[in-house]
Amino acid sequence: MMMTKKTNDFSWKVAGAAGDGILSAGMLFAKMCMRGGLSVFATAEYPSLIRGGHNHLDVRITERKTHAHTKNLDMLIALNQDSVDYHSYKIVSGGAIIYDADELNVTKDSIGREDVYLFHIPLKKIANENGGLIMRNTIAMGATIGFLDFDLQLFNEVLKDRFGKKSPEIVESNVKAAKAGYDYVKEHYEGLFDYRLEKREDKGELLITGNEAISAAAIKAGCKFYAAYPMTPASSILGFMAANEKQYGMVVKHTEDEIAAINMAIGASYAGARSMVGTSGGGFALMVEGFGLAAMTETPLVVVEAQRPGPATGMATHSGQADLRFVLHAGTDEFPRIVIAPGDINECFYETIKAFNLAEKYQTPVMILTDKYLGESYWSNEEFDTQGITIDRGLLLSDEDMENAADYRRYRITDTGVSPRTVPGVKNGMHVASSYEHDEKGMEREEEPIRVAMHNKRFRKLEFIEQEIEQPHIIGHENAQVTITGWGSTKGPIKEAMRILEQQGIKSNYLQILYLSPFPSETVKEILSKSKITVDIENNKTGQLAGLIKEHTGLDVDYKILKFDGRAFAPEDLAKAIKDIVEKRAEKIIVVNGYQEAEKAKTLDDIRLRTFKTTK
Amino acid sequence: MPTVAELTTKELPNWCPACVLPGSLIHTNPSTKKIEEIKVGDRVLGKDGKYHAVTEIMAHRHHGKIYRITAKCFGDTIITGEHPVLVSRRKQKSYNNKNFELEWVKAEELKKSDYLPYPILKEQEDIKDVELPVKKKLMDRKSKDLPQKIILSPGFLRLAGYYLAEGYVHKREIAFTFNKKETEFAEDINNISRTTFGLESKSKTFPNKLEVYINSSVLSETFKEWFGTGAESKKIPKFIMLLPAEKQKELIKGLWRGDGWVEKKGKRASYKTISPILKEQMKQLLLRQKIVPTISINKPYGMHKQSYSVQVVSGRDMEKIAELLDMSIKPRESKSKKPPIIIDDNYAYLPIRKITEKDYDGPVHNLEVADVNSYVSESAILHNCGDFNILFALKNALADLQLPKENILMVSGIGCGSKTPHFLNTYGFEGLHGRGLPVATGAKLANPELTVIAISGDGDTYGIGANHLLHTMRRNLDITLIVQNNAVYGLTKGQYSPTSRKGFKSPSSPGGALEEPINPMAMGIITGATYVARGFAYEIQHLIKLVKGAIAHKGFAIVDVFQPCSTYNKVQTLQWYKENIKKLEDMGHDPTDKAAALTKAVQWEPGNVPIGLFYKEEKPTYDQLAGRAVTKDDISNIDIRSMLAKAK
Repeated sequence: MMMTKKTNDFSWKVAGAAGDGILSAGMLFAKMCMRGGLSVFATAEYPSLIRGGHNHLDVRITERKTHAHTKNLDMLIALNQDSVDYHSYKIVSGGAIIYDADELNVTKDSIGREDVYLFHIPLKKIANENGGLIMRNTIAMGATIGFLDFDLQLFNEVLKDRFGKKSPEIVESNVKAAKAGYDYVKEHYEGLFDYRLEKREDKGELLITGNEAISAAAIKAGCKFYAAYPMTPASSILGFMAANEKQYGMVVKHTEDEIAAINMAIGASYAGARSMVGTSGGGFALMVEGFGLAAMTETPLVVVEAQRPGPATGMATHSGQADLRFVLHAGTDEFPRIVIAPGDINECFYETIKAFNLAEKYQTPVMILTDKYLGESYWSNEEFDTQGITIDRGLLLSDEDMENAADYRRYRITDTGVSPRTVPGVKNGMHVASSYEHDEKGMEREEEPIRVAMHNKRFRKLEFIEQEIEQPHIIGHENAQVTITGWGSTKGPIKEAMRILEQQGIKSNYLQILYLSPFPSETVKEILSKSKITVDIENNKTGQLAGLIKEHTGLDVDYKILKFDGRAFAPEDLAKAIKDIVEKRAEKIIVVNGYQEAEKAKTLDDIRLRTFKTTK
Repeated sequence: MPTVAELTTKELPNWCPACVLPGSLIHTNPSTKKIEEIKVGDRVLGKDGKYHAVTEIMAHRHHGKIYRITAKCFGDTIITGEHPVLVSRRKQKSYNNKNFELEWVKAEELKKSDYLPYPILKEQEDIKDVELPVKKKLMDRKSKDLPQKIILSPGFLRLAGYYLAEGYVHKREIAFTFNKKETEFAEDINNISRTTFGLESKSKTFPNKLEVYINSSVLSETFKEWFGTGAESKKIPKFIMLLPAEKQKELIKGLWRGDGWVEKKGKRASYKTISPILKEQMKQLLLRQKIVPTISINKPYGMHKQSYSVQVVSGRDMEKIAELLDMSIKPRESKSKKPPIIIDDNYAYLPIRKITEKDYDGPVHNLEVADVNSYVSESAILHNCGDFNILFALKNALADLQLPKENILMVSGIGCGSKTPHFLNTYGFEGLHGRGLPVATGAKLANPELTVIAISGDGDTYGIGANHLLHTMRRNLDITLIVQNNAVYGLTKGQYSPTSRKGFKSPSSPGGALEEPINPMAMGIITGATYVARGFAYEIQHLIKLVKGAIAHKGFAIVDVFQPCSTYNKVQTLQWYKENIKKLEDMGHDPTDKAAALTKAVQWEPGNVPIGLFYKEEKPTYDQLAGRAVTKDDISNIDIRSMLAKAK
């Protein structure tokens, strides 16, 4: 007797050794699901190594819009023993592990679980019959599709798009391997798994990362110069821009270091090209002096800072949100800066376009602050609406404007603090942009009245930026029991957590701070002072946003939920912590790091990393 | 297309190399010349009271403010605002405070309370006699033979004074005109002529004057040579100007008897001439007697030409002049409490009375003076402008290349050498310390149509910015880099730099630098620069050629410019460079020979440190490989749909 299967709500993980190719195979599976009309999220974890170490990819598939991964898994494809050890405790009751019994010894005893299915598939054997060991991943994908009763033909098409250009033979052998995996499942385990995916109409969505959305937006915004030194998790922006350099007529420069990158971008911007740099915290540390140079010379510049845990080199391939205070204060002295922290793909795209417009309109540096989770995770997302996009180059003077110009002052003091700008090549617009304090003409000056007037001029821009930027607003219930604050990539997990809370009868809402500088003090104050319980959620140790809120509004948030283990929040953890808060069972600061025992450990010897394989 | 003048900014037009208005009299050896008439090799008076050779002359058109500095006694000097003037800023103004510390201050920063030191001529040549410059002509049978050498007796010097004051040459005669009562002077002349030349003079009395003649064509030609012709160009010859002050007293006596007068009450003595040169020479003669005269200009009226009065007014100086003129006068009792002008062994210290500024559009001039870096105008000691030779070379190179100035981008970092963009009327970017080259690279890649020139110092380029230098060179971007290499950190007060020689002692290397210096030429040749040259700031024409070649070159050009830093580098001084550098052109070096270039680049031997073009190679540039001016693209509606489709 067949039970009603759980349909179109599925969390899946494929795990194995780095270099096994599981990430690209898993992404093909994710893409197939998206083309099957379902909403997809995929995020990978990998070590900072070329080969070896543990890789895994989480794919979350839902019929509704999906916002984040989940901690709990419905199915684990374990390609090595580590995969079983690390992840089997995360499998839900009724979930399954797919493994090759010829390779791994997995029993209910060994994993300490009675409530999960163990499905052996002779991956190695089938692979050897279908083109070699490299086919193992594809066979596992075929098997997954078999378990989920999904459309193998759809997978074949994805394979064709992926490998068709390379060679029809590769497509052919992959199609064959996928079918072998699919057939094995149908033959041995038909009807045994409790989850299925049902095809829906293809919505024509994009499977895209935050970095790709930022890159695509930069190209759309007319970015003509991108300079970077490779640094995870920002490197994929450099790759994306370089791949599109020729077609879109850009200059993409892999520089000798981040200092060169930002100074080159400033040079290009000064010459009239919309320019961007991308890096992570360590690279931005090197760029800081240049960041101030852009502000002092009033040269438009967009900087992407994709955060990873630190300090120093930190954890290269992981995620964190601990650079907020750093970027808000980076640079000597004070200058107007715009810091935008997008929380999802659409914000990555549309806010990047805005970033370029704001940079040129206000002739000041604009930062897009992301992290590894947002930058490198994939979301299925509706195609961007590029119809309404306008390019605002601000007060950029042309040859015609300057035809009869006399006494041009590059840094003319104006009501808005913004001065009409010329670029080299424009007649009658010659001037010097100086990193020294200067007068309206750009000449180095140190006299008090000039310093004061020029400093005030630069700062005057802030008032107008404040009026222009979007004010934060509440997502969720108007009369919520609990109001969550957060910024950046926590948006996805928070939205998922709110769903869980809703199912548990807890009404919540969410105040996302998209613009961290200039800080929307009034709006935040108004919203939070009306809220019942306030909870700040951040991927750092100290709750930097909570500090900012206090600084700008005088308000304390009631609770902080923090995580600084290098991984994004799991919606389940957030929901549980918020429930505890609402039910008044929580401490003021709740730390939800992945490995709870680490909090209590006195020495690292106390922590036996493998022990959590049986911990639920 | 721009001229040097057009390349000069309106805001900072005043920076050297050209700062003094034409017509300004500059003290030369031993006369004066208008600044625009001075030539390389002329010797001018320096701040030390001695004469030094002019090594460069510079001029350009100035459009902007000029400053008229009016000093007590000696009058005006008109210069541009940034021109440094030697001044003393005394804290205590009391006459008894003889402590004058000297410093260089820009003209625009001078104050009324400042003092201008004015040098007393120190150079001296005590000779007994002088040879006649003119020989008797073969056909001349009329003239009597003259002695071959003229003894420089007190009498002769007095005669010279009479001549300078009242004399003229008429055909074959030297003539003197006196008041008809001044028969004692006629007698004096007759005695001197007889003892000195062996010639009798003749006197002739007219209703209102007394004329004295000495007939000798040789002597008349000689006097023309020595003392100039015509009252306006009268001058004292060098051999008299350099005599000891004691001997010169007789000259002054003669001059004063002729053209001067002393008020009977002894309140003032005045000397008048229409020769501007003589006026300046008289000033020097009196300064050497420790007399500070007051010079004033008498405007022309009627048939009278413009003349100059050299007056002695103070009680102290009146006593001296009276003694000198063998007069017994009772010096006036000073009504004013104001003390006379202070004078010591080196300088007279003239208070600044007035500073006025006005707009000016016209030529200005400057000189480069060996050793003392200074020269002397009518009322001030002016600094020469060696530090800005590189700017001068750059402007000239740009003007010669006829590049549109709006297409030129000057990029610099931070340091003494990094101010240059401010002094050029082009686009400029003065960035961070050491980071000029990346800015230049970004701009060039974004718009390869720009002429991009990076300019910086040795600390900026070879120290903090060395990484960028290496990578920019290997890219062979079409950028010119000019490094003002003085082998020391000047802006931070003299620490050793990456090009300081091993053992160089400085505040940051008191025991001597332990590192080997960077070798920019060798580095350029092996790293991929395609135009590698070294110039010297004081070889200006050579430098212009190198800079011009560098800008015209398609590829990365580095021009390292040796530049003495007289303040902080006491090892590699101007003299050191002059003794040690040698031009590659004179060695028959072939700049296309890479191995030879490298050999020359590592050469650093006394008397044999090469300057010139080491290496040149033609090959594709990075910006050529990369493309085109992306700054000109239309970005209003870029279609990204096909790109996004890949994510579907």
